[in-house]
Amino acid sequence: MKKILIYSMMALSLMTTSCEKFLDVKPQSQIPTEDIFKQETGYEDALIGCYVKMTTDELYGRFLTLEGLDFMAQYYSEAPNTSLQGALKEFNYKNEEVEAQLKATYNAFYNAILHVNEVIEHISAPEASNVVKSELKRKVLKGEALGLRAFLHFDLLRLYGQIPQNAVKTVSLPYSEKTGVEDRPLYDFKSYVDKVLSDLTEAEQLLAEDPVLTHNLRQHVYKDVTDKFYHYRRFRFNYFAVKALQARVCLYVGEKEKAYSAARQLVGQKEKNGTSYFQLAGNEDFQLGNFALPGETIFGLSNNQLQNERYEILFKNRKPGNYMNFSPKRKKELFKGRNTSVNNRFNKIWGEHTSINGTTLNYYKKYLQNEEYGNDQRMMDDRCFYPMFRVSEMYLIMMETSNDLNEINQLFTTYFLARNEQLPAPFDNLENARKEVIDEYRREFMAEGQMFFTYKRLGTKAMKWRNQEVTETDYVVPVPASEITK
Amino acid sequence: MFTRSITINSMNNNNQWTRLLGKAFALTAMTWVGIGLSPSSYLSARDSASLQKVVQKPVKKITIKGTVTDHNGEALPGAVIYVKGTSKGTQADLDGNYTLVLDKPSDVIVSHVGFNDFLITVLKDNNELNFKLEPDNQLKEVVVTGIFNKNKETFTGSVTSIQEKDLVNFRGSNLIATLKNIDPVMNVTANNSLGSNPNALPDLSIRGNASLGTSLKEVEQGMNAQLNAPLIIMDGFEISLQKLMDYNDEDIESMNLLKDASATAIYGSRGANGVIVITTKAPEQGKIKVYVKGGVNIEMPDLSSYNLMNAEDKLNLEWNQELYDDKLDIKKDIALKELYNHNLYNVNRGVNTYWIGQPVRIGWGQKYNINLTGGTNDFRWSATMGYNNISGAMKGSSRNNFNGAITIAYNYRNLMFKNQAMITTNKASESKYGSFDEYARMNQYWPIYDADNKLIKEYEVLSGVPVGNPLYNSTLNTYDISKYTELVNNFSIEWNIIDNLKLRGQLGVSKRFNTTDAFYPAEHTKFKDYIAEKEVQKGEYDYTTGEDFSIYGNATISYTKNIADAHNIYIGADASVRQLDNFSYLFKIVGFPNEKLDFIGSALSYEKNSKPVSREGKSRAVGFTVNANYSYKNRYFIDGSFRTDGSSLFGGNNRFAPFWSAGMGWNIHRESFMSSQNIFSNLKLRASVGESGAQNFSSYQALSTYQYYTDKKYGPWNAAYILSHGNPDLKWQKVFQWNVGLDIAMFDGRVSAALDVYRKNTKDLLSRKDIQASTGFSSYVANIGEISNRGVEAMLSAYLVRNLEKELTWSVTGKIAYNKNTIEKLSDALKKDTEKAMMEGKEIASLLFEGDPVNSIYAVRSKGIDPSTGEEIFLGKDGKLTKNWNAADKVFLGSSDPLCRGNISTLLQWKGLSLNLAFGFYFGGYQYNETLLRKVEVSKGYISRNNVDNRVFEDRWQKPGDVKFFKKIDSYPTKATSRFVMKENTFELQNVTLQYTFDSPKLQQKAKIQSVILGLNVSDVFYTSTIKRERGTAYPFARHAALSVSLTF
Repeated sequence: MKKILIYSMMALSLMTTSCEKFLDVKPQSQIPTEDIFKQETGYEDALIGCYVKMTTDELYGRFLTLEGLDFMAQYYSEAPNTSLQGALKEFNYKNEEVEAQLKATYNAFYNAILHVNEVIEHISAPEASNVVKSELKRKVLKGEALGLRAFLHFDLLRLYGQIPQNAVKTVSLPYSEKTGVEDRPLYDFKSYVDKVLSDLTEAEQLLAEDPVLTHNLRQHVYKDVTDKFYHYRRFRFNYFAVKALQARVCLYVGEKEKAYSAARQLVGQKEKNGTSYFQLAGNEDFQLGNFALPGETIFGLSNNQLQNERYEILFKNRKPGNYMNFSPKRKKELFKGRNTSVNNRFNKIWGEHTSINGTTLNYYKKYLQNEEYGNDQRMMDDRCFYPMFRVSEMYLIMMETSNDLNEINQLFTTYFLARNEQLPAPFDNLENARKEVIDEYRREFMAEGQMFFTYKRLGTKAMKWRNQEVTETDYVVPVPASEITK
Repeated sequence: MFTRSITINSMNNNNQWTRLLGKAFALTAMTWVGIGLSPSSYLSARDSASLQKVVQKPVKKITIKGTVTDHNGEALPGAVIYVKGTSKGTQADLDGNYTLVLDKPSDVIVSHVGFNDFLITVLKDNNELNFKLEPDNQLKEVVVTGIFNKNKETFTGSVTSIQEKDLVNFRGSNLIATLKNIDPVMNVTANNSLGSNPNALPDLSIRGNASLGTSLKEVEQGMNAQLNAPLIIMDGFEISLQKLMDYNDEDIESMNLLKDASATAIYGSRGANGVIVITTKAPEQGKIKVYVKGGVNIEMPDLSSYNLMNAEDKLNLEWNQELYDDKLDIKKDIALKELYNHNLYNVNRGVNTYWIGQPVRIGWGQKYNINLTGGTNDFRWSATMGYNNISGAMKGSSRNNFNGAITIAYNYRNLMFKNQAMITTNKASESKYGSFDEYARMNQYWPIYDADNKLIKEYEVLSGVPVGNPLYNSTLNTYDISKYTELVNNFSIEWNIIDNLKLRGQLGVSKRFNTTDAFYPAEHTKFKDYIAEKEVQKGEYDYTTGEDFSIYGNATISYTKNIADAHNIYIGADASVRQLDNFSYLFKIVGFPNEKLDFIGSALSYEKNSKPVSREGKSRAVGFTVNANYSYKNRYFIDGSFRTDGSSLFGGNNRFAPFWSAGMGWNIHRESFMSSQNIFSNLKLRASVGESGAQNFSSYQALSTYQYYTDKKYGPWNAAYILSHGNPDLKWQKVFQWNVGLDIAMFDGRVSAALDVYRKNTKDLLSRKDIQASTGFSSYVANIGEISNRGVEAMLSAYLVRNLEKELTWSVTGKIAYNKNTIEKLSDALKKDTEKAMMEGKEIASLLFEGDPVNSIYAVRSKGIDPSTGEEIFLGKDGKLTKNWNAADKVFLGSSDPLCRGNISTLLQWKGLSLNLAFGFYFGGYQYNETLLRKVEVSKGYISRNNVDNRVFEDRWQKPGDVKFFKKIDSYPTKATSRFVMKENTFELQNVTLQYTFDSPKLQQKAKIQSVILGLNVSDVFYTSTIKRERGTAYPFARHAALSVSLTF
């Protein structure tokens, strides 16, 4: 009797100790946060998770590139004012659908930021060095994460923040540097920008040994680097992306000199043998069918579903309900002032088709995944992505911020050569040059979501293709009502 | 009939006799109260088969006389002396004297409350056959709780016991309906849309809703039902509600509904919603007994609640509403007039299609069951096979179940082994006639066939696209069939270590294979909008396949001790472990131009840009329970239990949670001052208090968790994303409840009553908490919120006639259950959700407010229809009259859960005949009368396309001066108004069961058949309610009847 009791007690105690372990069962694909950062691959997977979040519809998958922002930039004319796109075109932020979209985008931004904050938090902890043994890897992880944090916050500022010049309506936005459920502190415009720039400065230091500096961005796989994590630098926030973002941020807030020097560093980057690191892209890429110009992309977001999910629905759609149809008339207006007979953008990157009710329409081929150009890995590598930073933009920044007319003309010559055009006559004053720069933004960055922000930073009152004046209220996109901004 | 009776789950012979007795004997009701065995109205002939020896001698009557006394020599008035296995017997008078006449030598049993039964074989006359009964101190009366078997007398919990007899007498269209007929504490929510669809699972709860979804969306999606469903345990293993519905109910020995903390705390995390414990029949020893039953089920659709307009009236209505006029466009006007003439022509030649009759039928189904059992004391076995085919009231709708089981019980010294192997196969088909409401909307002036007798595919309407003929799809080869096969093996071993110490181990394994095949050929109306490139994709096959696997094991040790014949101690401890795995894949294949070629291989391709959808899950849980019970002289007793539960589904700091209960009771009838009276044979006061839990949060809600993308890569890399903010302090929902009860049995069991008062509070309700989106997520799950349930349950049962000599008994039982549910506290997030939903004019029932019950109805108060304008006048929140409907003016108007539910039943037994009538009622609830909204107060646009209720003509406002209930016909939809909120007080005759048993000795001798039982059972005989609305909208409502014949060899 006693024996039995003793044995059963022992059995019981055995059971309790192994209980916790026994209950540690999760679906294959789930892993608690504390565990994922116990492995080096976990850090990598967690960081990549942010990139995937950035390719969702609410962010750079659709709203910020292909659709929403371009309607706000007045590119498309056919959307009725009651539709989401039409309401955006009219800056009708009270429209129910628009409100819902803006809320979803706001939430998506901070959700992506949470992902990088987790990486930053864990990689900064002392235990990280036991998990991620290579110092380079730790630097790259943290540097990329910081760069992404700055990138995402900056676009939040560009969309929901006040206008950078002569703002009457001021907006404070949260800058999120933590994880967890507590409220994030709010910063006014200047402090916010300072935070962005300080994150970028730290990222620049950490990425000083980025493999991309000793290899070339145009290649994806570096044969002498065994770790797959360091390949495909173009799809990740590399050192040059940090510089490019610095240029963009400084230009946005009006720090022309800083913008100029950052852009210049990129444009002037040389290879070991003295040739230019960065080349503007044009005829060659178009021949290969790479309309998104991977040749000059500094940083882009990869998305293998680009053909099916986006391109067909938005651009190639011939039905009357597609508001992204572009008339040949608009196309001409877009390229007014250029030599359209030779300009390769005008001729190659636009396609023509007939809509269901007989009219001729142009469609934009930037994201065309035409299989006749090859349906292999190259398609994934060179076509299925959204460019975030391109060398063209760096040229344009330099041309806008430089005070040397000669330099500007030289840059323009190179710039238009890539477009298969000869510069007809050099610019005789800075104003005309700057005007052409803005027109080029409009032509070049269609479906990349940059035009609205260009208008916003200039405070433009007369947007092309819009009759009414654009006011400050139109530029300051409201933050969702449930969020505290004061 | 008596629902307080119990089952005995024991192994030794003595108790087996008593159990068999219980089934056989109808007359000794009072004994049943004491021992708790249920009366039955028919011979369980297979029982008596093993007991009676076949007698060849000529029949000669035998008379015995004597006195029945207790062990001290005191007379035992009311002692019952009867022939074993029959309903023939007598009772001892006030002096303990009795006289009994027997037809032939037989076994005779003498019994009385509180004493051991005495069995004697009587062979000849005896005038001095005296009996001295020994007091009963043994653990004979038992409450089966599924983990421990407790002594009924000293059990503090609130339990409803249901015997096999009750399942027969109250049989409804399915097992859940039967339970509802027996005890109103089972709150079965009728889904008015699903009607009597045999493949639909009802929603049930015990003692009110204790849980809530974490968001309004979850509440809307009907998650509340899942969260509040009781736990179902069969022979110690958990089973799903679906399995209970498909189970062969002939194999059920008894069921117990555990309602309060004492009963449910032992189930810890799963016990908060009450527990249904089922015990299946154990094999019986003796010569092989064969039990065969065959029967027919009939489903009879009841369309009486529909009041649709006939062809002529509808056409007149349309004409009067000027729907055939177009004053602006002459071309359109001509077309409309042509349409009118066409319709008029049809009406005049007699077309008045009874559309709602088209897809329905009287569904004839069959049910067969065969059971063999036999064996010796050491080795007993039983084999069962059952087949049940239910043909639903809609053509093509059916549910077929086949169950087979083999059970073996083997004794070896002080060990007992039992193994049950079961197989269940199921096939469920949905009707290809679509949804019933489509037919209710069809205008009756549309003929089904054209002049060439071909089915008309579409009908032109006054506005919009043509209306399709819902019968069209039924002519195609389309189907929607689900199947599963389940194999289960339950093994248990019991070891009587020493006299009072018992160890039991159980191991159960179950595996289930599921498939679903749904096919829609190219001509199906589903694809009528596929044009151009989509043409080739017409036709679809949806195939799902999956498996569920579970394994469960437990060990229980129990110890009883009796000290000095006064103190009784019971201690039990149980440890259990379980694991569940499941997965399923869904494939969609398209491109089937030929309806005959429905083989998946003949398709065009997978659905464009789709890939298989898969789901997988795995979980484990462990639990430890300790239970102790102490009683003094069976008079005073206390009970306590403690349980700790852990599950892999919980993360964070609170993976294990403790649950407990404590109870006490007083058997007043055992007091010395009560020994002289003989009014009360049972007077028990009991109280219990305790905490059980509700498990309904996922691991990732407690712990911040990453999820890998399984279908996406970024470049060449894998990626993982964060699921949500974790809340490491997330706790289990706890349900704290107390219950006070009184059990009474009087006048030798002629009258019995029970009363329970309880309160159930759910604390730490899981709910969403809103946070700033800049944190990365806009909400996370926290423990906020409280719900309370307060109630009373009462039961009263009495024998109006009890004449044992004439074998005539008539008893009446009434039961009532009252429950008031209140949301005490809600999270701010839910409050905001509700506010927003109110503004949007969301669906009536899914709003939650503090102070109101869970399923509440909110609408704007209405003062009726203004006779001068035909428009509705509303009462604003400020009390002022207004013509404008404003969502902010909505107020609480009632709850859709009835306050009070009750049953009244009456059972009449005379010799071999038994008749049971079960009435049910409920009141205090309200419903938003959807019929009035959807069929009467409809807009002009609706009338132009669909058929409507007759009341559109009669009861809608038409001209100034009309005082009508319904507003004028216009184009504005009616929004939530108190006019349509109606009291739902209902009284119905739920069930009538009639049975006749043939068990004459002639039958037994000539045909070797022990008994033949004929049964007739009709459900939902009549129904009256204060609310007149259509019952069964997507699937019609049907009455159920069953005829059966069973033979016992």
